[in-house]
Amino acid sequence: MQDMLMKAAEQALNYALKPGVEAEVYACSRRELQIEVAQGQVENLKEAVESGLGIRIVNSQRLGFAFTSDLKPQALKAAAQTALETSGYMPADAHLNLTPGGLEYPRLNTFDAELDKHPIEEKTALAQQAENMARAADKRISKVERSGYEEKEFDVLIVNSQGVNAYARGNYCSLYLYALAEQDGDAQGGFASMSRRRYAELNAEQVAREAAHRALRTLKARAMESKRIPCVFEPYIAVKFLGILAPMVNAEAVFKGKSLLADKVGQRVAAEGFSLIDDAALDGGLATFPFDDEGVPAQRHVLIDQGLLKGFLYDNQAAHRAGLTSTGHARRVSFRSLPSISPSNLYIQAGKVTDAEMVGDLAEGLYITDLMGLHTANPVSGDFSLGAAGIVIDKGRLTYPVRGLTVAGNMIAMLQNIDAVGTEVQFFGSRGAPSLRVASLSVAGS
Amino acid sequence: MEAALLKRLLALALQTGGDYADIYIEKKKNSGIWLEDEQVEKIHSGMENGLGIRVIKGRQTAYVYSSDLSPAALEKAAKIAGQAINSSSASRVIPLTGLSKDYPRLDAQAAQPVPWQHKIEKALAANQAARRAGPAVRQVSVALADVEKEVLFASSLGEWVEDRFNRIRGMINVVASQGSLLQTGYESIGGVCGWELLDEEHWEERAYKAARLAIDMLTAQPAPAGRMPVIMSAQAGGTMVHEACGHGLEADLVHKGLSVYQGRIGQMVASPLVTVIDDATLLHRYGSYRFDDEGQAAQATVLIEKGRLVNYLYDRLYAIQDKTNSTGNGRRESYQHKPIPRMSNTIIAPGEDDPQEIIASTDRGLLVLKMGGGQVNTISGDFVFEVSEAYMVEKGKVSYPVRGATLAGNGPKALADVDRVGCDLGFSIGVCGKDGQGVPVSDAQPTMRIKELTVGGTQVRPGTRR
Repeated sequence: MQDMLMKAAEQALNYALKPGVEAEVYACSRRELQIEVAQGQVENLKEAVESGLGIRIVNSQRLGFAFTSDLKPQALKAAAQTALETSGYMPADAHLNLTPGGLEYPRLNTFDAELDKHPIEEKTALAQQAENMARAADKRISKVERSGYEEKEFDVLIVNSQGVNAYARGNYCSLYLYALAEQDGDAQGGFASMSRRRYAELNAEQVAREAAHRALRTLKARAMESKRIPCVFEPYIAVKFLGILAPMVNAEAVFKGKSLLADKVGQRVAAEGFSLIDDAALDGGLATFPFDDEGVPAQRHVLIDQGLLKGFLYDNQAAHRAGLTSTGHARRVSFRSLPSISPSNLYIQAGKVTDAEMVGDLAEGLYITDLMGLHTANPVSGDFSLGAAGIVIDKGRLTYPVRGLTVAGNMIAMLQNIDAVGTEVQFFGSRGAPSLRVASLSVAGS
Repeated sequence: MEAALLKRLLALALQTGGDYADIYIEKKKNSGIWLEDEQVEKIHSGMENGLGIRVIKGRQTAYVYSSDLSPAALEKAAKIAGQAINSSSASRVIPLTGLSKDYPRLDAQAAQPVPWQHKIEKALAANQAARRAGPAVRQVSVALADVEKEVLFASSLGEWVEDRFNRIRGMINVVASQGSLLQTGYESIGGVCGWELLDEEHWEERAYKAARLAIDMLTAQPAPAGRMPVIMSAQAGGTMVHEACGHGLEADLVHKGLSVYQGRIGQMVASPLVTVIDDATLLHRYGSYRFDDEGQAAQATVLIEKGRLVNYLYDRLYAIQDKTNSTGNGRRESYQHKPIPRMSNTIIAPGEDDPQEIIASTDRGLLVLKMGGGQVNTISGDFVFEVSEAYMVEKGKVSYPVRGATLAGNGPKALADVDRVGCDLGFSIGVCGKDGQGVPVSDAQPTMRIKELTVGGTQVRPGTRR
């Protein structure tokens, strides 16, 4: 695969190189397998292979871009010509730049050779096992809507006219399951998934148990009256807040005035126990890769250190504008698109309070189990008003489930209001968090 | 592609006993221009080829896709698709007898490729036209995109079809401001045809219109809240028919018990004045095609006839399960997706009333000239739409503009409440999303009046939060 990509990428680069032009080729090959079972039978099977490359050029400070899935010389030449031609219509931007050559890339474990050795029947059986276990977990589990196995494998090659020549491959696999629980006419769903860089670490039982647990614990929920109370977010919920936080530490958003953290570097933006880290070299991380999608080496960055804002995520262009160097956060959706700034493995660092203490300390509180509508949070003001469900904490114990709530607040106010950080970080995809407790939040009920 | 290779691939896919197999090959060239702040912000261009092979046996579906079209890669893909089905004996492939010819013609190929220079001039022209509307215009964004596509479909039933077409889309978004008040205006055009669409649809006038709308809405009053008659002008386009009944008539949702229209064939589900048709054969419309993405000839399908539900939108898979015929509505976003039932161009048929007279005969109500996005819960039929341009009607006359209105209602109820249907017809276009796949559609309706809908205004009552 490496040879095929290399040959195409070098040809494309040569076609694009004209006097006064800097060029970069991002070539990628991707394989994907998905198996979904229902009632013990394979209902859907999908297998996909795709390769292609994107040519990005800087022609006298003007950007040109074109992609192709056809790697034959004629198609590569046509793509290079399109990139050159269209660059002529673009305005000049002095901050466009490509990654310099001669950089060292870390050696990371991103490819598990074992994954390919296991036959499809075994992977199907894993999804079937999860389905059976979820069903058997409790007699109130009425249905498993879907149980699936998924794996992805990718080869990435980046070459540019500055001398960058980076190649690496990676893979990972996942199990996911959605179970339905029913009791006395009430029906509730529960979803769980697990993604791992190593096949041996997949655990069907854990996925089944978690999905069943999430469905069961919300059955026969009651209403709750409105009040301000301490709230505990389990890791599954705490990571959702990273979806609001991630755009705020994006240097592009900062530049465009779309982040409320814009002028707060060096200031306290969160409680003392709160640290936010982005680490593209994290062992076992789903986004772990030796380089970003412009060929900048993987790095670890502390974005918020014990409550103090340290900095933002940059790609080459944003870094040049700010007079810095890239932090390695250029990401592409696929070979069809230009890179833009995005986190790698983004997580909240573990703290000192166990989950038992976090709940045990409270005379009254809410343990939040579901949040809805996070995309509606205002990234500029940080204000959010979210649909929620949870379990009432009474005298240090989890009691009955409640739903139909809204939780409202402001992201920054909430970060400063965190009074306990859990000891165990859990990852969901490439985002991770421990349990968090917020001293008080406004919860609206009936 | 040769018939012999296609047949070999289908035989490989069926060698483990599948009931049915098909092949979809797509080759496309995309181009896109994005203009903002009076300059080109982004130019996007690329080409992509790929193939998808599907094997069905009973309730099982295997789908394999690849961007590598070399014969070796294709054979590998066909074998993998077959491996998902576990039966010992191979199934038979009916020989491909030749390209089928009897599909509607759409005149959908551009006469010749259009140079970048021309496309960029068109984007700049729209920007200038919009800015001519007045100094209140703060920002103009223009997008122009086209795709040139070749498709091939072949199946184990002996079907083999090929086509080539262009699809164009243009959008203009304008922000106007006065003090701290911001209003937006939006226009879009699209069709399965060449760049002549821009002239046919009066591209620059549309840009000016988007700007006018943004400016006019600056002086609009907040919409009143409450239940009232609503007149939807033909130029409001068909978001209403798309959301209020279109999705609920898609056979997969009906089959899964997720539609309010399940089990209601033959029953009255709308006013006798309402006839709903899905027609993929219309010339130059955004949702048109000659055959769907699984080789079925495009057709005009009557879904609701004078208020009575007569049919659903079918793809092959659900047609087999319901023992009926596909209506040619099996569509997919690309070779990376398997086909599912989708709308094409969905229309409420024109009636007999004079649109002006419909307004004149309304004592008090809301006249909607432009719709925004919408959403529907297909299980209950409840829908909500944003309204981007509306006026109050008082004593049969159009009075002041209102902004920030939303319309909420229930599909079957709203269609039953239609009491006047105009003799005109207006189209709107969009990319409809479902199950993670986006497909181009258009929707149309005549000017019509609904006796009562809930209008949600923006005026916030004192004492309420958020």
